Amino acid sequence: MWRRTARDRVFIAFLILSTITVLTLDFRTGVLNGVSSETQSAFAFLQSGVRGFVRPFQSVLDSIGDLGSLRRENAKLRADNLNLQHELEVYPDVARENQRLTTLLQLQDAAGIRAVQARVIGASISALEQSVTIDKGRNAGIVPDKAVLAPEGLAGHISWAGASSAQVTFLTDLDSAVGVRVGNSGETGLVRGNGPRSDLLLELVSRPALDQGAVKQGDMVVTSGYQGGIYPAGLPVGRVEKVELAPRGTNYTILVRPFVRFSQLDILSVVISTAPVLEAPPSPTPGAGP
Amino acid sequence: MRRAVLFASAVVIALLISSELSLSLPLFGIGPDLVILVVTAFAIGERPRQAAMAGFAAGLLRDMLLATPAGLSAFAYAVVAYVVAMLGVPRGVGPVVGTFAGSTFVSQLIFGLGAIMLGQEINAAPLPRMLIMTTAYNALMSPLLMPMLRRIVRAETSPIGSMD
Repeated sequence: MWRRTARDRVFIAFLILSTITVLTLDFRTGVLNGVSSETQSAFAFLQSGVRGFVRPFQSVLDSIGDLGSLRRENAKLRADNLNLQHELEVYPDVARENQRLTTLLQLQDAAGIRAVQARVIGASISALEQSVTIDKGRNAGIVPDKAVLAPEGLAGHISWAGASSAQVTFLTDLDSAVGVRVGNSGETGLVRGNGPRSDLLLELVSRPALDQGAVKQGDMVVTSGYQGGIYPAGLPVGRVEKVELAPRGTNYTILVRPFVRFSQLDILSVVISTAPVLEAPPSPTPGAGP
Repeated sequence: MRRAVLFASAVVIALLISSELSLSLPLFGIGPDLVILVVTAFAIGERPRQAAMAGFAAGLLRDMLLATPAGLSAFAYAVVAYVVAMLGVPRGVGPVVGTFAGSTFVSQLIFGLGAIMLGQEINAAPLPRMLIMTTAYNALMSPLLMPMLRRIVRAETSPIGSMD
């Protein structure tokens, strides 16, 4: 069994001093930022390799696990398909209108937001951080403080960007905060992260507005997109799941269930620009005109 | 020297596996921290000061990949490695797995409390879940990683060779 000596006491003091030195260097001076950035870039490169190796095996395991449910789903989809074919025959005008509206929305999106698609290659190694690493970075135009979208809605923002990889911090991260607008009332507030597998917390809503029913269960929550903010306006965030108002005082708890399923992300879109993409006017043809 | 290279390689591999498992196989949303298993394996039977220095280095590398203030993991791992080395060599399956689980719990506790003390935005609720889930995940993973961990333990004091 080990016995403590004077040398060990000196060593413990040295250990504490080393920790305080590193903390101070990082916290107050930012001297370690460059080292951290290079380490993250190198680690992302390795993560990308591991992800590429694991993905095929994961797909096979997922497929085996899903076999039973896939058979049931297949039978259900066949039945749904027959019903849908019947509806298409009955309502051809509705189908055509739907197609036109979808195309219109896609055109609006294309004009309003320019985004880069990236693949998720790794997750944070600490449970205190809700983030993933993606396989594109500054070389693809990705810089910190840009909004990140999943197919279901807003996923988070870029918290760090290297040359060919970047870190996405999720809405559920304890450091995340997004300005939002709620439902039909248009009441504004702030959605904050609440940790892994948790709903989001809606804060900074005025209590008188809440007393008048401005926020109800089931209300949709979208980004408010204030001037100079990270997130463009109108991006879907989630749906109000629970509203609890304290009988006295100003306290309340509002939980918002995010649309995005953070445990099943593969491809993400990083918003590069929110300004409409304007085409250059056609240059005048020589000899043309009056 | 050979053992130092083995330790450094094992730390990098543990970081990569931790990241991959957090992404593809999280346990109730939380992944494992396999680096502390490598640090603990190194510390078993090692002299406390050497163990603490190895823990500090491994933790510092982990800190470089996190947004939390650098030095937290380094300090947590160094303390755990020092204590594990001080306690001597555990014998038998239960004490060995217990040592790995205990190391995980204590290191996560120091890391979490340190983050709160330094003003990180951490609510109280996720911390107990993080402690329990990471400890449970690591306890599950430690027998699976025995072939790798066994190579890091000092050969003359290896307590986990008889765990197969």
